[in-house]
Amino acid sequence: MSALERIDIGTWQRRFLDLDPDEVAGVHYFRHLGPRAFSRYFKPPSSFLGYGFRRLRRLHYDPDPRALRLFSFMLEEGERLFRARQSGMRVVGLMGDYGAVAPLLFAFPDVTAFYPDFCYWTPFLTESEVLLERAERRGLGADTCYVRAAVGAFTSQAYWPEPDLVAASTGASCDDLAAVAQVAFDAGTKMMFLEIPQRKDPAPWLTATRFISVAGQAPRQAGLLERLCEIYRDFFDRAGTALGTPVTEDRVAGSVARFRELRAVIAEIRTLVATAPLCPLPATEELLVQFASTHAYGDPAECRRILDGVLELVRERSERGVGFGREDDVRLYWVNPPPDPLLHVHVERTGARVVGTEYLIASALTPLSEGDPVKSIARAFLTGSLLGSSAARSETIVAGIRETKAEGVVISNLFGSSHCGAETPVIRRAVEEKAGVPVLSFDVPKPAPGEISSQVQNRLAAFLEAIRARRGRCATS
Amino acid sequence: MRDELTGNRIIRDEMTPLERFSLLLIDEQPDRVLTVPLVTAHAATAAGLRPGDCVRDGALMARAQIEAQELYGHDAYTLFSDVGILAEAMGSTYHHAPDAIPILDRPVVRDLADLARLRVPELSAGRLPVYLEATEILHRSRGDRIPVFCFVPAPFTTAAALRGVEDFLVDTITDPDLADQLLLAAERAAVPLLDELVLRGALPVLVDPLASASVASPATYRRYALPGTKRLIDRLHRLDLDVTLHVCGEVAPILEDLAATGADLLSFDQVPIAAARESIGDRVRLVGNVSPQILLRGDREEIRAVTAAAVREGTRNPKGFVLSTGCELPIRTAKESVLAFMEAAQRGPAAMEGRPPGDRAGSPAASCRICERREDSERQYYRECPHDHPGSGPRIPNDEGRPAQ
Repeated sequence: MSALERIDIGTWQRRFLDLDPDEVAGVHYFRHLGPRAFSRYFKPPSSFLGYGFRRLRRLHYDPDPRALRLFSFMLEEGERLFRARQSGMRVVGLMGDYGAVAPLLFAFPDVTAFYPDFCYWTPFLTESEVLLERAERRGLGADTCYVRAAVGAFTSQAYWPEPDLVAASTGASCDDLAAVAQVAFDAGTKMMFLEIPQRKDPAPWLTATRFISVAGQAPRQAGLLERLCEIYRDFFDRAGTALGTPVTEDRVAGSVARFRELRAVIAEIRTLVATAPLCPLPATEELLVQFASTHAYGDPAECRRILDGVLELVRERSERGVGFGREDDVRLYWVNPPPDPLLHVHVERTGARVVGTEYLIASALTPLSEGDPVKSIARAFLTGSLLGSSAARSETIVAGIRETKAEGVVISNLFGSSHCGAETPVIRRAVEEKAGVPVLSFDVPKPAPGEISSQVQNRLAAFLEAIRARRGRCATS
Repeated sequence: MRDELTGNRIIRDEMTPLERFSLLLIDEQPDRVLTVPLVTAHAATAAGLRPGDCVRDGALMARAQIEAQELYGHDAYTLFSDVGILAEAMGSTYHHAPDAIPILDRPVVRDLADLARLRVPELSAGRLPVYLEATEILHRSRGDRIPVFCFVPAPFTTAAALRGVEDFLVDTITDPDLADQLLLAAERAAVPLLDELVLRGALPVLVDPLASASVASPATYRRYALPGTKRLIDRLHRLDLDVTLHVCGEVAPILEDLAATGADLLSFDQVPIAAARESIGDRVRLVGNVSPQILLRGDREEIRAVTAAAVREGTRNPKGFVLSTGCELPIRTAKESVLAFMEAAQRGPAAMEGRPPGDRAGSPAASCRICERREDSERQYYRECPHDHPGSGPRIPNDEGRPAQ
């Protein structure tokens, strides 16, 4: 076993300049447009500093170019959307469905999709309140979680072009995002709403409702899958009308198949990250892999190339027994991992590794079944956390802890996020009782220049120390 | 865009300077013309400090930039002290005075032996730490909203400061090998500084005033200045950074050569904007070029008129435009003059020239990005376009001489 070291931003800059220039210049997004000067995206993190991404200075990175390529692909997404529009593509925003709708949408020709939701990373990456201040001026203050940053992006039009369409999920979706969608709608964005039904738990008083059980999944009311399929098909027709483009069944099947393969690659990466003796991919990079499951960062073909490279990297490391940290690092399961990469880096610096996660995009990580593509999407979405109860979510988390052999659970709460406030006690109780592992919960500090708050640092250090002491007691007994 | 029922205008938020600049770089149109006068040593005056103190103290230099930007509301910090910063770190001596920028006192290279002793300076040498500290402070304090442009002398200008301007120019004729070696040393010296500035969040500007046609011939530019500048720009392009090249003085005979350096933005001085646009505007974003002398000596009306004309011409450039001054603002430029420049920039030429709303001023038609009505493209840059978007007017100086927020 040998340990890899993460590298800082300066080291990456120096190493990047030593890479083969032709190899670097040959990496493009939207390759169907042919190589364009603008579509180069492979660059070191320091190249983003001057454009506001201040947090990058404090991070430490995987030293392999295959992982760096993923990082820069993610950071380049905003520009990619503008370039898509300039190249004649349609740009569609998706909100609150966490990866369900994107595979359907990419069936339309010359369309790219993005999630305004993920703008909640931006205040952390830029260590800035610019977007949050704009949201506050429109009534979404600290009582709404950081997804309110998307308001500031909608109203300035500096982060993505005016979308041709935004499809926003409501109902059993994120209430904060619904608030953002309303503001975007008020600001003139062309919106289409999808009413997502709730997945209920069986209860004695629901005598008029029939429930069905599916192996490995939470029970659900009969007919829910079919209802969701209807909603998606209806959306598909309306989107086709709005975009002025009919689409064939073959294209839908092809797009869903591409995402099926993408999710399979992501699943293998996650499995290796959880099971290798040494962690073969740092937490931030692994999180970026997971987010690719939702919409492939707007370019499924290029995203697949990148993830194939990351999978190859993770396989190589696992086979050779190399990775980050130490074999005795504390194995953590992270609920609601925050959009602050510095926090991930800090956890790893403190002697822990992240072996599993559970949060709102979890349904996008569920494998897509073969067969009817719409039903496949709907079936995967029904495994998600947000449309069901806190109890069902807790069960998913407990199963994940067992599967990954996690020794402790971290629940990070985002200020203003109602599901965080309501669910944390429920999850904590379920984890402690059913999985028998300790839980640490804390509020994610507000995005600001500087290191992680000393309070969070102290609490994490104490938590990890307690887990190590627990190991000793278990060994003795 | 309007509310269908009420007919009320839907108001968009004003962009930050960084958002404005980022859009410009990807061929998108910001909410108004990006306005970056070269507030360098003048920043000290605006902040009530002494220029000579600021160039030797990074915290003071940063403070001057912050206070000047808060006063004028321009769209970037322009961090620069003098063209000798690298040469001084390599051994040339400069005369420092409290109320002036440093002046070359004694060049370090008098003969070949001196040349052989030249080394790439450590980042701790001379006043390089001042630059780095100021960059760091600006990026940390406001780098999420305001771009930090940091000026680094291009090889030709540094070589002249290593050898003495006249001697170096003579070398280019009588001893080309010596000139080449000086240029190579100057180029190598710039690399670590540029790398470190990028790591501290700066956007690089190469500055080459001594290579302008006011000092050297176009042939000299092509033979001596262009190759090293191009190599530095190529290197920065490997990091996918957008590079500005600033050459003040006479540049008309070398416009094509300046574009050939590969610079993404060209900050130029004594060429009519229309001529630059016709010549290289399809390849380079133009940055310029209101004469600093107008700001030093002109009255408010003249400043407004000249600025408005620059905006009118510049915003027609195919690759985009940044309104700026042709060179640094003179230290003693009156604050009111800079504010008049900013007011003209932010309100737009039609308002300044008293033309009626909708006057197209020769600009191609396009949709207003704020409310999507088709109007002249010039007006798209301004919040008080004929559709009168409320809450988005220009910053008008109040009684205290500060822009109203």
